[in-house]
Amino acid sequence: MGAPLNTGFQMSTPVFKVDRDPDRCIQCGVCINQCANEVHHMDNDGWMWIEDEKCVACQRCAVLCPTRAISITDFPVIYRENSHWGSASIREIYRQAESGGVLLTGMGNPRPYKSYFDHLLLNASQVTNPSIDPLREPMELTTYLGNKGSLITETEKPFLKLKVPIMFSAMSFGSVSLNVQKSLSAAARDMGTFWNTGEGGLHPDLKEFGSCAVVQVASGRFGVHPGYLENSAAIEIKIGQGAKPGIGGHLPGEKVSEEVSLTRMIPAWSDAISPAPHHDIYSIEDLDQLIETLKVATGYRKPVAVKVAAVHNIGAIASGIVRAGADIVAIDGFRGSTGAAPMRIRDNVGIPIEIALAQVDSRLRDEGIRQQASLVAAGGIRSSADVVKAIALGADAVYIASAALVALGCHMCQMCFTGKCNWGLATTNPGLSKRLNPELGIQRAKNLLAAWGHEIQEMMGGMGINAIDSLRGNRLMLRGIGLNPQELDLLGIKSVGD
Amino acid sequence: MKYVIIGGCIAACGAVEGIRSKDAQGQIIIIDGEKRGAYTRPLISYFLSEPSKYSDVDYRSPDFFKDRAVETIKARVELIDRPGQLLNLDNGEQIEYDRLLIATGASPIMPPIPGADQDWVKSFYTIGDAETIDRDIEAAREVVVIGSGLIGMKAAEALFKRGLKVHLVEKESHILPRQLTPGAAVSVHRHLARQGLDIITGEEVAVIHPDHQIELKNGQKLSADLVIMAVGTRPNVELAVAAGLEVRQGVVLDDYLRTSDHKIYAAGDAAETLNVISGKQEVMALLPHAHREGYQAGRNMAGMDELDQGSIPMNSVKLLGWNICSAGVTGARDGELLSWYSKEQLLEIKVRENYLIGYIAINMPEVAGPLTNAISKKIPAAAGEWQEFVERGPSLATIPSAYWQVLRRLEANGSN
Amino acid sequence: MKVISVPEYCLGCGLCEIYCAAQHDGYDGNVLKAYKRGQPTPRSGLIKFSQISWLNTCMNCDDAPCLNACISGAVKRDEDGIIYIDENRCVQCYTCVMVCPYGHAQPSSKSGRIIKCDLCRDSEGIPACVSHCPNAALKLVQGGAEQ
Repeated sequence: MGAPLNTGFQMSTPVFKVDRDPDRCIQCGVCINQCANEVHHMDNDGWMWIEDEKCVACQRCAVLCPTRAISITDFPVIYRENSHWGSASIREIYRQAESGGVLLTGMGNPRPYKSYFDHLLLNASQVTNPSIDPLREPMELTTYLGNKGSLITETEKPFLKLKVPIMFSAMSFGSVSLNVQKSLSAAARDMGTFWNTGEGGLHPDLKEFGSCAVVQVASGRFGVHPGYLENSAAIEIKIGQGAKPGIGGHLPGEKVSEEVSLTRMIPAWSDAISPAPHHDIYSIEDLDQLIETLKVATGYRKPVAVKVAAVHNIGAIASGIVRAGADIVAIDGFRGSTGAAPMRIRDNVGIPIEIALAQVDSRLRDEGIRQQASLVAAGGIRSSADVVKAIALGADAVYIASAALVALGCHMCQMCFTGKCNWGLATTNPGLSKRLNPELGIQRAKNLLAAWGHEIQEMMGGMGINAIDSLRGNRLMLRGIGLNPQELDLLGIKSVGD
Repeated sequence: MKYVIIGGCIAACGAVEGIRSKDAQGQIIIIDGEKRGAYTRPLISYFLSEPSKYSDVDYRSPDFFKDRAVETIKARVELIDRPGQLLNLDNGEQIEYDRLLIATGASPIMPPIPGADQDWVKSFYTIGDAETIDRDIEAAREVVVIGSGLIGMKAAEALFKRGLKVHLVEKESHILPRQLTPGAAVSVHRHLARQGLDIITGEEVAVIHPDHQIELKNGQKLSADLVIMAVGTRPNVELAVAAGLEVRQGVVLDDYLRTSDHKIYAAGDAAETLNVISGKQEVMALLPHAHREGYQAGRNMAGMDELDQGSIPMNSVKLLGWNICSAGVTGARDGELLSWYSKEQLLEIKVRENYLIGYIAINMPEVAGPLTNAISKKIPAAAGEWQEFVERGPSLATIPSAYWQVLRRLEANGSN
Repeated sequence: MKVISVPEYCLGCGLCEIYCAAQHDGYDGNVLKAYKRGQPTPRSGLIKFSQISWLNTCMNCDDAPCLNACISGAVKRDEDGIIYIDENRCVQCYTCVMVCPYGHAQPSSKSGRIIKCDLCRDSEGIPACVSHCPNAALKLVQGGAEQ
């Protein structure tokens, strides 16, 4: 790796342009005190100035400006037109030529790959098999996650009971602030669903939310101890993450504050490195052992989930996971988000969740083991329509993280990895994390789940379905639009008009 | 229960509010010798400066007493008959009481200066005084004010605003001797002198000659159409003395504002109450204190057993545009003096073992309230915090954190 | 009633002050007009105290020192318990300023008369500072502070 250039000179022009309308600006200074990136400045003599190059378009200043004096636009830079060399590619090379480093990024893959959700259309009942009005008739959204394969023969199996088929996906304390976890955990409890600790342990303040928590056991084993496993609704072994399949995690030492260190059970201010693989899992048999270990440790009272990134051959992988004894398989598609990942990995590794889901569901059905585990789809769920489509493709429930963060204020600037989240979400800086008042966060997250729940009921009603169980894997409710025969085949659906 | 209040001013209003907060039924009688009902004495200088604008000096609304079922008798009390629990009035009436409040206030001191008995030598204490002076200065051009306490200063300011040439004579070495340190007085003195007030300190009036010449002890002569005597006040304690109650400078009270006769209470300028800084009973003649003491006495007369929290000497005054707030100990030698100044602002604070015991704030009203409260509630700071407050520049954001912590606790426990 | 700050979630952004100023003096909540045309004066000030900040609003104390101390009867309490200033009666002695433990009541830089939080009693709805706080760090609650 090369040394950083010892010069302030930058080849690239700023990405964003911050405009301040002087007719509207009242010099109140809100923009200055709200920007953690120090874009806005005011000299002692009242002269205001802007450093465009520091702007990440998080919109914090523009949203809080009481006179709407600030607007953020793309900086008008025109490189010679080139369909191959876009401006982003050129800028990235400038950055690397200056820094010699791996390009880091946050949130999910933003590249213009095909979004299969946007090529799926839902059915609706007409004359025969009439539609159902969810305001007049019962509409069941409750679903159970776990091994339903041997209900009759064995002793009672542990399940997760979800009143809405949506859970909050793993976001560790450290990658997000404690206030984010406070918001999501309380919202999950109030709405009858679950949140996920991520690989960061359970903060003491959140002990009471253990009963609605899916606690993660990941390759770094951070924060894992018997009490942690015991104080949970389910345990999730994290093998992979959609945003960065095949690589581990690295929480820089400067983010490992005293509190993070306590929760993760590692020394303060030391790097927290999650290895790429679990060093005790090199085969399905190894995974089987870990699953069994965790079940033994918790007296077979908790379902154990295994989370993997959606990659090639995901069908076979999922099959192995189910055979290893997992009660829940969570599959994270390539749009899945992250607090920090190398850009090249995030943007170029993995496969779409829609295809992966269809493949896994079909494979498990074909092998006759679908009932032994529930499927949870994750990675890029943007709306209730995506939820309905995911369930119709074969999921029992979905995980949302980006959508939840957006509900809490995220503006998708993708700068989570800097720790300077102006919305107080992806940061442990106390001055920034206080920007999310959990009281508001809880309500907003609950509102999102409630709103999506209503919409799901309406879409189900339209299809003439009155229980979410009847939608699961019901691919007849889906039609593909603008998809080629092979894609339709992989998704296991018909084309529109068919 | 029959409550009788001697005096009808601020402490009496406080007492009525105090009694009525606990006893809606009991009979309340106010015996008030003043023609005028309850009015605000400090407002008379405003009245004098601009009579048309400040003609309304009433302390409470006209229906205040009526709304609270209070009977007012315009008469003077000649005697308190303690064994009989009776008052003899100058109109021949006798009034019984179950609980009595002495709220007789104070009177201006007229020093025995030769010539002080002439009719153009006035006191400045009542609205009547102010009305008389207002008439008399129609033809006047020059005036001498003797005494630079609060009353003297406000009188001088009012007359100056009316366009008169004003000479202010103070026998102490600096103006506002009870409020300011010599250092703080310098800046106020300069400010007033710059505006055109003639201030003579460290000097006394020897004779007031009938030819309108005022001779000072150093032989200097001032001419004046009018002399205002403002050298101080003394508590009206004659009734209390005659009734055999314990009296020092003012009527002596216990912690419940009772006199040595437990059916009789006292409040306001006539009474000695607890100065929480010195820990002693003192006369602190100040309107807010009079109201507070009256209120507390009223509650205790109505059957409560509430300890009087005491108060501290404090004052806020505006003189020709400058605001001067002071509280607690300002003159005494004890305590560490810390000061801060900038242009027309000055802050002096006195600190003793992490406790604030006094301050003078000139044109710094933003910090005055918390400082007053830190003194009166005896809220300690951490070591060095008061020093830091001054060094970093006094503001609400540099006030010791311990102070705000105490306040936020109060806030959380707020009830209604 | 009173507005209380939750310093734990106060961002120190200052929007409360801005909307407070715009809600008074006849600007009717129009921030742009208040700041471009007039001399807006917030009733409540933000205190930024090392790491934390809060809006220093009036506590409408049960036994209000300002109300008790006012020499001219300019400090009044209305039927809702809100302490307000009758500006016409204020003689600018600043006795209320001297006794307010919070340092809340302050002279207006324009008129010299005392201004303070009046809970936006002349406007509809909840106080402007509360409704415009982006983080719910201000709350309108019942009751006053003990003194």
